[in-house]
Amino acid sequence: MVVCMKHECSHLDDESLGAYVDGELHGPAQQAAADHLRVCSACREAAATLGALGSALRQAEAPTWDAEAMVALVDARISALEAEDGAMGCAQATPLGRTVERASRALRSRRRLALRFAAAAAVAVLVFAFCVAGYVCRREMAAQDKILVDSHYVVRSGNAGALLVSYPGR
Amino acid sequence: MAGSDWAYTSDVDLARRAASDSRDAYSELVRRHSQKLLNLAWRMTGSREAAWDAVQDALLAGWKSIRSFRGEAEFYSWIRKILVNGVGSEFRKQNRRAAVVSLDEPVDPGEPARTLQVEDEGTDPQDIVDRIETAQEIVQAVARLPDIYKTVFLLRETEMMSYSQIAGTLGVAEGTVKSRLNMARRMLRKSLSKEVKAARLA
Amino acid sequence: MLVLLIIGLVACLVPVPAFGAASAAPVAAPFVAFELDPGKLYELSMAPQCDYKARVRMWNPSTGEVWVDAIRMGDIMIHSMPVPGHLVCVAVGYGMQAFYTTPTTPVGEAPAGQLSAGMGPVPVAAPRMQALALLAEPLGCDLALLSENYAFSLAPGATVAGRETVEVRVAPKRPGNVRRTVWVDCAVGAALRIEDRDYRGSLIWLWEVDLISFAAHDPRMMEAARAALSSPAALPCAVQRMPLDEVSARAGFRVTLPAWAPEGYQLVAVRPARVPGAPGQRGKVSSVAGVVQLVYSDGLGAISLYERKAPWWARRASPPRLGQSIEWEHGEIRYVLVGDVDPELLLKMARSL
Repeated sequence: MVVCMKHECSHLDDESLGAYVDGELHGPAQQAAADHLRVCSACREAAATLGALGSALRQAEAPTWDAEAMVALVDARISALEAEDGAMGCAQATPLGRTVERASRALRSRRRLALRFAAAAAVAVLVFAFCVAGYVCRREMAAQDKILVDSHYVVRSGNAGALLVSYPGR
Repeated sequence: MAGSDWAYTSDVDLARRAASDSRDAYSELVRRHSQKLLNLAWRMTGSREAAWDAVQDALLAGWKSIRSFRGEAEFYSWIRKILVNGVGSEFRKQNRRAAVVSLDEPVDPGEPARTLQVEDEGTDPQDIVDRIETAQEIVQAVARLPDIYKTVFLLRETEMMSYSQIAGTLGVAEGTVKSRLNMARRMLRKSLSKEVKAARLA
Repeated sequence: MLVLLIIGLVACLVPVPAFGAASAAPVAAPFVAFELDPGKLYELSMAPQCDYKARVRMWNPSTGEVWVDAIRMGDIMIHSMPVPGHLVCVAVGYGMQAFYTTPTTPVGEAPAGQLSAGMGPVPVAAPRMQALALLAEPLGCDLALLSENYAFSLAPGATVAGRETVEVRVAPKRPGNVRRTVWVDCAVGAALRIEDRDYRGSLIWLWEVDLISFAAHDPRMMEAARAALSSPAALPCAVQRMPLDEVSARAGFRVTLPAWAPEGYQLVAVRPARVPGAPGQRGKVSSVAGVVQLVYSDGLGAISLYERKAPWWARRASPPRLGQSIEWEHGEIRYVLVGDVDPELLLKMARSL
């Protein structure tokens, strides 16, 4: 790691110096660097500079933040997110999807023998529930169609307040 | 739901509960770690608003993939990785719009830095140490660094991460981390010594 | 007939003591005296210039009747509806629209329905409402398009909410379209009742004020509305007219337009959105299929066409059939077409896709 750069001296190169200051040199390389720094004042000063850069940055005042505001904001965004895509498409909204999810979680933590058994069972469940999925999906699409028709009436009214017409639980 | 209910629960347990859809557990995790995440984001982006947005997005992304958090690493490391990568991709998006190439950047950032010392004409380290009267100057100098170097520098100096941790967070090789860190330090030294010269001439 | 009309209008202009639920004197100076142009009158009634608070009954054939409070304060219009413990509100102002709830004080502590002190607006989380909020951004009033396809006329109006009104009638120039009647308050120009009827004469939209007052009202409502309108959850009010390539890319399938539309109808809005159960996300990431909304309007009537990807395991090819709203599937896309016109015309439009 001690390389000749200028023809008259053999200082530590920048990377090694940085690695030494960061504590990332080990074994003989670390020993060699330490030995060099003991005798070379130029490199010692360079090392001090490196350290100073870091500590000065750490001492710079960070602004105060409102953690509670962040908590509330993240919570609100999660609510909005779950409103948007409560389930990712038909697959997870149906009992099929949840069964698949549970089955796939179970698969990970079981041993191999039980794994094969569970896999076979899951496959059987999948094949059977596939037929059900189609029916449930069509029902969901019909429900979505209703939402789209409702939104037409709001759009045509030119009145944002018309949104409230569809608010549930009134 | 009072925050103190969770005060004695460990991060791992909170994460496990959050993975089973407990919003309160996740809120407690947010409460615990948002300060540090915001500080890191602020240093990376240089603006309060950008930091606020970036951390929000990261915490939301964290919620979405909380189930994939296995607990092998600490929750904070995991969410920090999401934040750093999120900010990084934002930088890349912005840089695509304004493609300004800095002459300081080597052509291939993955290459180990050449050991040419000639460009630093007699930089006296002591000058730099003296000149850092207010940490604000170094904050500004760091803010002026190109994004890839700034990220590595911040992760090393403010988050005290090891090279292998940084490599894991950014998804690059350790050698790349070393060379980028080196580049960041040289650029900082150069920009700070310029200020010294400017002050001397004034 | 004309004589009656003039007498009616003149009677309207004489200041009448407010009775019934109307209380304090109107805020704005009477303007009807100067604005006898029915088109202008219509425009002003749809965007009134004075502050007021009104209790309103709204109705449409799809979702039925609801009672809301309509409040206008400065540049903001708020519609709110009380539900247990909350007020659900929609605020429109400064070019933005926001949908939020504010908690109210429990009964017994203060007059019921008053806002709790210090509680800010919370974005509404119900999935159906979120979907509607995105799909239902108002089209706004395009007077040019309206004048092309509709004719305005005035008639003496009945008393609505205890106030004198004048009727503005918006009648279609072509048969088979919507017609609207607006009862406009003589003194302040606010619309007190709006009725839309389709080509057969059946009601398709009703907006009726039951009580109206011009007294000062709760500044916290204003604060909550302002906060909601500047929050990240607020949506811009601008009618989106996204280029087809972009919306196709966002939606994940090729969006096609019908080759034929009823006379006078133009495409006024193209926007991607999503509906609960269909994957998609507003804003940043949108790589999964959503629904695309295409709105055709002739200034007053509207026809909405929705296109979305049907999941492959639940597809069943079906041609369009006559009905008030038409749903059909073709290829991998499911279409929903609904409008104010004669269903025959809708069917023709559907077949032309």
